[in-house]
Amino acid sequence: MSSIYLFNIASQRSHWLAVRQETVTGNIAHANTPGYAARDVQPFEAVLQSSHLAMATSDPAHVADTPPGPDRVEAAEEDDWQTYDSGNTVSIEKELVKAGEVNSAFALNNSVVKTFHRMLLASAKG
Amino acid sequence: MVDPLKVSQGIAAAGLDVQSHRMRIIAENMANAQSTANTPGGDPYTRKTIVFSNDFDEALGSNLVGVEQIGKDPSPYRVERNPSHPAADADGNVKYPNVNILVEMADMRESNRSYEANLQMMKQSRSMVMMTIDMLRSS
Amino acid sequence: MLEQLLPAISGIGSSTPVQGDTSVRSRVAVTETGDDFGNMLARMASDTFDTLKAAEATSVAGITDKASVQQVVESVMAAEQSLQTALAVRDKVVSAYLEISRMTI
Repeated sequence: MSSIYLFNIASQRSHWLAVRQETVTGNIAHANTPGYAARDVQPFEAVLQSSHLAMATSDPAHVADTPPGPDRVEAAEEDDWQTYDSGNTVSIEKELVKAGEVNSAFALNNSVVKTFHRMLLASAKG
Repeated sequence: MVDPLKVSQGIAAAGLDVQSHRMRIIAENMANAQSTANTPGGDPYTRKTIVFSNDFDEALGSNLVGVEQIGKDPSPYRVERNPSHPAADADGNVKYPNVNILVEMADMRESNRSYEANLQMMKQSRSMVMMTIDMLRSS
Repeated sequence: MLEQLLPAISGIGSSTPVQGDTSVRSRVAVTETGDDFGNMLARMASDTFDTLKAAEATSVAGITDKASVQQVVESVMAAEQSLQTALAVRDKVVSAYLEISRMTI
């Protein structure tokens, strides 16, 4: 069942994207809080490599377990678009760009999973 | 397990709340930009400032933005010479509030922008949840 | 339903030929040591059952606001997939059994 691998990766990606969305929302909400440093999540490749045990599973009953969450890291923004005296490093434009990326990646992820699910059901019917 | 999308809706809601507080303070400052004292030589309206905080919320399990304090701007009052004014002191000077309308307008625009960004995050989190549920539909 | 078919399925999978109308269920003890096909079907049936149970538990947790939406959707989709597969296998097995039972001796 090679689709298991795809569904597993898609599940991890979905969770990663949800955590990134939470982080971006937090950044935007704290855009005017003094001393707040903008945060971002680890890249998805790093999360993927740290969980190769999850790829070997073939028992779909284990899907309900908590997937390993991407750790939140304080991102030192390399190219600040703006600097604030208060020590706040949030740039709303940058965060909105990230949010757009999250949105399209999430839509793609879900569409892929939905399509493969449908294909699997269709192949089982025939 | 904590659902990040649900948490992010709570975070965005706190952001909206805080920005609307800020708008209220700005509106108050702008409305009272010319309010002098009633008594001769008295202090006029003092410009209010708002400072945000970053507190951990038990129920949601995440850090939420909040209002730390609403303070007074310590910068000096604007002084104009107008001996016939009821609030003129012995030298004929009237103290006007330390509110700069242009600064307040810029603040208002920035607060509006933050409010809309928070609103967009709230909408996006909600639509992501609906997209997930949609996967079950018609499949 | 599949559990009821299992003894019959195991009987079909064994290497000894079907003899007359001797009930295949008597062969259950013989096939305990297991042919690969029989074991595979038994494992598949129990896996399907486990997946369905897990999906039900996650759905209840989702309805009572204890599980996240993503977990519920994932387990329900996995249950749907494994149930569909099990149904297809069951249909094939039943039709194969019927075909064999119609074979002239």
